[in-house]
Amino acid sequence: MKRLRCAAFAGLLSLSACFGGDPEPTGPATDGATEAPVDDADAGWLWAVAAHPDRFGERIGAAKPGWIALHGNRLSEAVTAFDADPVGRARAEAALGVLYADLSAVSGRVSQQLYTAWDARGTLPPGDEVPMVAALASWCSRGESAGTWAGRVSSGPDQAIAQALIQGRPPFDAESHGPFGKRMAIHQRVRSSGDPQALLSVAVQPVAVVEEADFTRQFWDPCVYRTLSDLWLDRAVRDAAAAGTTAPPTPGAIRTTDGGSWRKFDRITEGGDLGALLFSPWPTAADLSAELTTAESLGQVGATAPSLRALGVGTSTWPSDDPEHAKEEAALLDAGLDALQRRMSDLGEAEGVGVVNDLGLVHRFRQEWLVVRARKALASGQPRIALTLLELARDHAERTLGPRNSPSLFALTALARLQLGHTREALDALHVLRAAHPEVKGLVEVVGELAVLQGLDRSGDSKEE
Amino acid sequence: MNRRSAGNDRPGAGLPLAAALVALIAWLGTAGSLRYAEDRGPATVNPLFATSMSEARVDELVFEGLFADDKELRSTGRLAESFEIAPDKKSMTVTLRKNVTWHDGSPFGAMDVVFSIDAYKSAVTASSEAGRVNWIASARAVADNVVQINFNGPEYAPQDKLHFKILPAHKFSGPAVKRTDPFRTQPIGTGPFKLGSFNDDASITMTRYGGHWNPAKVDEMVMREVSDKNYQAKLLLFESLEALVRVLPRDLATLQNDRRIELYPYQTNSWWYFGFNLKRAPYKDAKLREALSRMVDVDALLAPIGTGDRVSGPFVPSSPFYNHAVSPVPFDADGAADILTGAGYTFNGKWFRPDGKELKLKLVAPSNLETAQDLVINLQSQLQSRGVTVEPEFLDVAAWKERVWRDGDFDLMLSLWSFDRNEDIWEQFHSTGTRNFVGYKNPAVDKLLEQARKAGDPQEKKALLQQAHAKIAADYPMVFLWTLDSYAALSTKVKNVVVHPFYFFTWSTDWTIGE
Repeated sequence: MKRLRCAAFAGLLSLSACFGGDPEPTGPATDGATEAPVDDADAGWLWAVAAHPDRFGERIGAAKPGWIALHGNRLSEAVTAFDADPVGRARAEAALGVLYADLSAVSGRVSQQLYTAWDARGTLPPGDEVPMVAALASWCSRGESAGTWAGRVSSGPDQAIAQALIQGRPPFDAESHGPFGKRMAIHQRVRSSGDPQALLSVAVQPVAVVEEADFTRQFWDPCVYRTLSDLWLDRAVRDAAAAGTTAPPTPGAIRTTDGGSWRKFDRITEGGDLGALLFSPWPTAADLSAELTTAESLGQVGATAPSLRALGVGTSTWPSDDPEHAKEEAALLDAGLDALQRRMSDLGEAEGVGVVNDLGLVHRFRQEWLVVRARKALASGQPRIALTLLELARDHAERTLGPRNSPSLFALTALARLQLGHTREALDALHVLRAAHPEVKGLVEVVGELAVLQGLDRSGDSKEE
Repeated sequence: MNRRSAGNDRPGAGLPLAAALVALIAWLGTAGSLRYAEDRGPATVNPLFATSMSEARVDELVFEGLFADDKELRSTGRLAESFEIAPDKKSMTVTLRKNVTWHDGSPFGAMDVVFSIDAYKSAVTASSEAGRVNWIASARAVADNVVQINFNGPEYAPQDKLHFKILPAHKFSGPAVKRTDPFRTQPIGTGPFKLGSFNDDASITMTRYGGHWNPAKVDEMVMREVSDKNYQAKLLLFESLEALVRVLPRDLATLQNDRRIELYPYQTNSWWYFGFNLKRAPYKDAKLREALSRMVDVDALLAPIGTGDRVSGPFVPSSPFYNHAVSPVPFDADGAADILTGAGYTFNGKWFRPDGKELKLKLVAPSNLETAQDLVINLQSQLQSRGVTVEPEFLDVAAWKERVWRDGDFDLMLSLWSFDRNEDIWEQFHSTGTRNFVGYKNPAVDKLLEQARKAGDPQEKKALLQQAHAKIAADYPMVFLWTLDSYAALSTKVKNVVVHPFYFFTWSTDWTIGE
């Protein structure tokens, strides 16, 4: 109902109602905080919305359904809705590409742990399925054991895939007619067309099944997330290059999988489009451009944004994996955001401040930034810091994905917990994700198998509350 | 045979002088009292008879096992210093940590381990934790600080099962221990906190044990029984508590918006239920149980408590064992009436059994759970309007243990189970389970649980327990209700907090309190 009403409203404040989401919670502000800048060029998109609500209204109004979906973290819906807005589309596509890269990291990690530990117990089931899945999981997460596992695949219908992996070649175009070959052919079609639908349709089905005496064994495609990540990042770069136009989507074959093409994403800022910044972890266009030259991945862009360094955040790496470091950094960020909120209240336009509050944009920026910072911590091998940042970022009162909790928040929470050995708890995070992203079903199954494996020798405990 | 360290690489272990220095430094850095709230306090502080989470949490502070989880949830030595597993994996030798003393100053040794295993296994003791040692055939002291443990069969990683708490042999006359043994109110352990006092305000003070091998940095832990959840949250907000172990979903928004408070996901494998007494007519009849289950509008019961996920069986939906093909029982009053009519019940404003007696349920629930009272009253109202009389009775902790655990005197009972990450439902649903007080018995489920326990293949175990879920749900032994978003809340004054997902206080020796 809320979305239907949106079309009838023209005013800016009523626009904010269209987005859904709750008004900004009012936590206690911290005194003595660093003052936020107010020069428009440096002040970031939050200030731009508060000070120039007309600019915000104009930018949103041109592609309202897309922005509503992006704000609600309904990313696939946003891509579709941004049919004539390449900048908005690129933003949603980039978010999907980063999400699937996170899920690919989870997939690689869990597969490596599961099959290695299971092998060590000496109870791996016979057949080619386990070595094939383990090999694919390693290759698709840029691991190092693909060849080793592929070498254990006997001469079966998918031998060509094993050979490709042994030789370090992509498995997608291998001529193979077994169940894995058929699935890889779907990957190849998707990678050639730039249309993910065929893969999304089969991702909820196991790639192979084996009937045992008292149960059915299922094996899941570990490459789903790698292909989807490659696809969406490629499309994001294509659409970023079309900034300033109303070009429709032009998906095509994925041009590169080397992971470097995303640096061209800064074309999205050409023309000074506010849409390049809204709801993002990079406050300014200069931040985005600077970070794209130094970040290790698109998912880390914003983590060391120059405009935030005045607040004392994102300035350095952490000396140890101590959650207290994360709490200190989050407190500094909060102090800066408190100061910015005060400044917005004092100097911003009433309508603009109303939009910021009604859409929960301060929380949104805070979460987006803490998430990219957590991703950087995970890449640095500091899962405790990452998990602390993610818990501080999350709106615990909201149970589902939406404006106040992004899918990447939960994907990274799962990855951090896996790195910390808390496999069962990783499932709690993936469970939230699964409701909106059914394609994570296979990942949930495999993480569940690792959780079960790790508990095989345990005595369970249970108590009444 | 490879000799393995039990993970005790803390400096000073086994070196009295260095250990004393470490203890002195730790003491100099010690400060503060950490006050936490429980809905209901422990009825006993004896791990042999721990049945509730509040008891388990106190036990975690006062007692130790041979092994415990490290922060990556791997088994690491606590009272064990090292261990060797025999090549045939049918026995192990555990060398115990040196210079460990009980809270009364007595030395800890191998005889305490042997006594504890014997006590858990004793049929006379009838420990509610007996299932945690039933894989052990015997134990014997090889030396003062060396124990040999023999298994019933090969064990791949026995240290993973040696987490149960060790008790002081010198405080008991033998392994046959009574529930009423005075130890339950005068416990001594080897843990980082010793029980100081039971206070008039329903609190328990546990003071830091300076003789511990890894002394805590907090002076004392105070457990306060506060049954009113609203009051719990207020006490935390007004800094009269430092921790709530379990926050209701409705309070999450308020607590997370206060920057003096941090939320920690905790005890997420918990589910609520109304359990039928299957040992008692007419509730032996699955058709009656199904009809009563269909009369309950579970969503309406949940609404006042907060948000949560409905469950259709004995696992939470994020569990690998949850069978997503099984749906929660729908609210279907008409269907329920058809089932009752078909089973010979008659309706005359109220439902009457085939023997002419009115259908009445004696429902017991814990008295000091505010949410339980709301829940029971709502259920009573729902069933009353559908012709079934519910006679609720609210019991305190001691009466609950007697009525439900010992006597099994109820028609319907309200409770919630919390599981560690292994989610082992054997004790609740196997016919021999020590927590199966509803009297559930299904040979097919017994077989599945037995197969699952033996399985060395994670895919097989997962599939078997999903099958068990479906069979249990089809028997309607309980009205499976929901799992709630489950968090603990701590003041930001408490630093270095890592919460164990089940036992909460496992790593509390690292916690500090500052300003």
